[in-house]
Amino acid sequence: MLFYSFFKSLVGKDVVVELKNDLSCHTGKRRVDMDSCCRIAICGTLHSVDQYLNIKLTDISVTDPEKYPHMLSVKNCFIRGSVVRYVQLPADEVDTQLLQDAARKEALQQKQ
Amino acid sequence: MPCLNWRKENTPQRPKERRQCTHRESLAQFLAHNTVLSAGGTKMKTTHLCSQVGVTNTETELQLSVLLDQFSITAAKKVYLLEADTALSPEETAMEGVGQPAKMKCLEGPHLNQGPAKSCGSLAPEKELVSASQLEEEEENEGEEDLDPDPDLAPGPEEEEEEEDEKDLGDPAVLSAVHNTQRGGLSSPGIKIPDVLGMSPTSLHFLWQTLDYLSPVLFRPKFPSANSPACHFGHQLLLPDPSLFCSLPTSWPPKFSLPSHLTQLHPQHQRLLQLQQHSRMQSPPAKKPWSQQPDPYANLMTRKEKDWVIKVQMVQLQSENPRLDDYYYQKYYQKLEKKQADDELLGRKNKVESLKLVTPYIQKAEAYESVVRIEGSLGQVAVSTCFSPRRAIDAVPHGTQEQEAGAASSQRLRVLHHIEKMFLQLLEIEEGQKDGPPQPCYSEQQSKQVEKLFLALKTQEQNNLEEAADGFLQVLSVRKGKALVARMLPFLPQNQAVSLLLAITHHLPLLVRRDVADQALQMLFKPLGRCISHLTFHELLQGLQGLTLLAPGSSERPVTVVLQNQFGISLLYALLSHGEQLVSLDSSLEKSNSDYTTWTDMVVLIAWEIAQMPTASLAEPLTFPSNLLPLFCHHVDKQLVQQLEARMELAWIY
Repeated sequence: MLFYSFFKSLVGKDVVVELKNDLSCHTGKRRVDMDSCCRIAICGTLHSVDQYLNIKLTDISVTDPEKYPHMLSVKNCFIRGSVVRYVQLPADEVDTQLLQDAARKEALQQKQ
Repeated sequence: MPCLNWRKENTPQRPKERRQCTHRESLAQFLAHNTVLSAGGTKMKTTHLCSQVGVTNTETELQLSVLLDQFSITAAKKVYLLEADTALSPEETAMEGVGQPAKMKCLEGPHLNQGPAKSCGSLAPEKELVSASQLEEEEENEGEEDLDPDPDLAPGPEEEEEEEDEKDLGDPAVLSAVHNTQRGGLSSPGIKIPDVLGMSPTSLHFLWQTLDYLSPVLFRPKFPSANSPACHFGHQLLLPDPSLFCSLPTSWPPKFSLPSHLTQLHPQHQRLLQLQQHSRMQSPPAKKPWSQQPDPYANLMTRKEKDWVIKVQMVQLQSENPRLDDYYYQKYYQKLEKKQADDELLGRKNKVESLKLVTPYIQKAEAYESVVRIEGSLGQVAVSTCFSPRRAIDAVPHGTQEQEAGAASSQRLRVLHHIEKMFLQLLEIEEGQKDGPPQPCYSEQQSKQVEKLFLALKTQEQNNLEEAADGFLQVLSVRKGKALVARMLPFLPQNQAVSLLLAITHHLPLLVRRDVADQALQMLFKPLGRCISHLTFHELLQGLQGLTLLAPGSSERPVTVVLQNQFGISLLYALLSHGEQLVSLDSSLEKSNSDYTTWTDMVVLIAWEIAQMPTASLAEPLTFPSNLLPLFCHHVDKQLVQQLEARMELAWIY
């Protein structure tokens, strides 16, 4: 449950989700200048996450609107966890030391 | 399709027939009506249908039209129409119905209260259930007062239930549908009749089957059957009490853009989110053209139904031990809260009173084995859950990893392994130390743990003192090791902390050299600083001596290297400052012995070294103690002081 817990702490923050199917969604505010070679990244505010790491984003924007015009009108989306390739996070919202500790605890639990 | 067969066998003839006819009529009427409404529907089609069905009654047309709204909205554009002629018997129709998509299937079984819902998936076809249940309401509304539970139907589901996977949670959809009807409303008025593909007569028959098999009443929610290996989520799904349903209306994404009200958020997190929302709401949201049009697909599920679905998911996530299962989230927001509390103490206003977080505690029904061993099977049957998505093999490391050849990489691995073991011990200690800053513990058990950890750090299975120190240095050469020591220091009693400090200062040049890549020594500064402030004069001298002594075989003193490194120079300054403090506070030291002479000598030496150093290579210390210059003034001539001043102040311009 480590990453479920981790993403829960990021609810309400802006993230960029890169998908496996070459679809990136960007959230509305930030225009990320990415070298988007046919990879879709969706940027949005993380609304919620579940134990399968399915992600709900609100207020999204896509990297390359002209490439994916069908996403122009979409404001909120649900992304199935298995289709996510990367999630770009705000660095200051992540406590790496705590993440390490959580990973250690998780490893310990798994061994038992 | 098992449920279909069962239906056929158990359908009693007498009491149903009457209902059958009425339903057929009403359904036919409705379908006819709908066909007319659908684009391209013609009168011909209507009459064709009507004649086939043999229906003339138009009373229930409106009711059925509403019902089919529900039905067709869900099945709209996905209705797989069967092109069969009307001569098909109900059985054959039923068989063909097997080929239909899951949604259609679901309508058949009275899984509302009894039947297995496996084919439908657990939660998806709530809409169908609503419509089916509403169709049932229609039965009631049409005046059938003798709603006795069908005796033939009753024992049937019992058998079926056991075999099937329990996904039937006593649909609140049904229950709410009942409530709805009792309230008198048939359905939400706002639903428009969408475009529906014309229905073929066979599908008409199919729907008749559905209605026939709908048992009139008694929603007997079945409790989940005993554990089955195929149970995916590993918990017993509890039947949610309808009375528990929250009646707060929220939609996703709600105006507040909060996740469902059923999710448990840390109060700190909740506050943050609300702040965010307020700030966003203040800027007027741009009106989009599509948001103003009425959405024909809105409100298909009531709030209760949505809550029920969410609750099902949340139940799986409840854990007995949120501290462990939800470690990152809990700790993160605790830290945030603490930080805010500290800020508040420093003057920043605290806006809201902290709320008590109530975590619902649901007993985990039973532990289950994720790897199922079936007798006579080859290997293991992997059952995946949300906690362990795939455990197809027993991937457990056997044997120890200690017997390694003396290769460099294995040495490094050994060190890393050792650090990890110590980290686990440290985490235990930190867990034991509830709240408050880490400090030398007073409880027996904790002191033992700390002692154990310290020994692990210091000795590392070495007999020789030098080698022990070497082991310690190896730990310190790794970034993780530095983090470990930094976090461990506050827990150590003073004498042990001092020994570590001395070890560090004695080998400072080496550490500095090894730290070039990481630049991670800084994290040691704070805990060491605290340790320094408790040093005795003698210990202090010991620490400084290591720096000033000429290392054998090298022409320069360690101080030179140290001065060029930020951590080194900060540590040095901290030591000097502390020494000066001790001296100024305790005048007896001045009169005494060799210690004081040593001290003076060292100060002079260091001052000289600083003066020698080109300003550019002097590192910037993390903190600059205020009593350094006066210290130098005491012991060094004016010219040198001026030089020092110039160097020190030039290097760090505030």
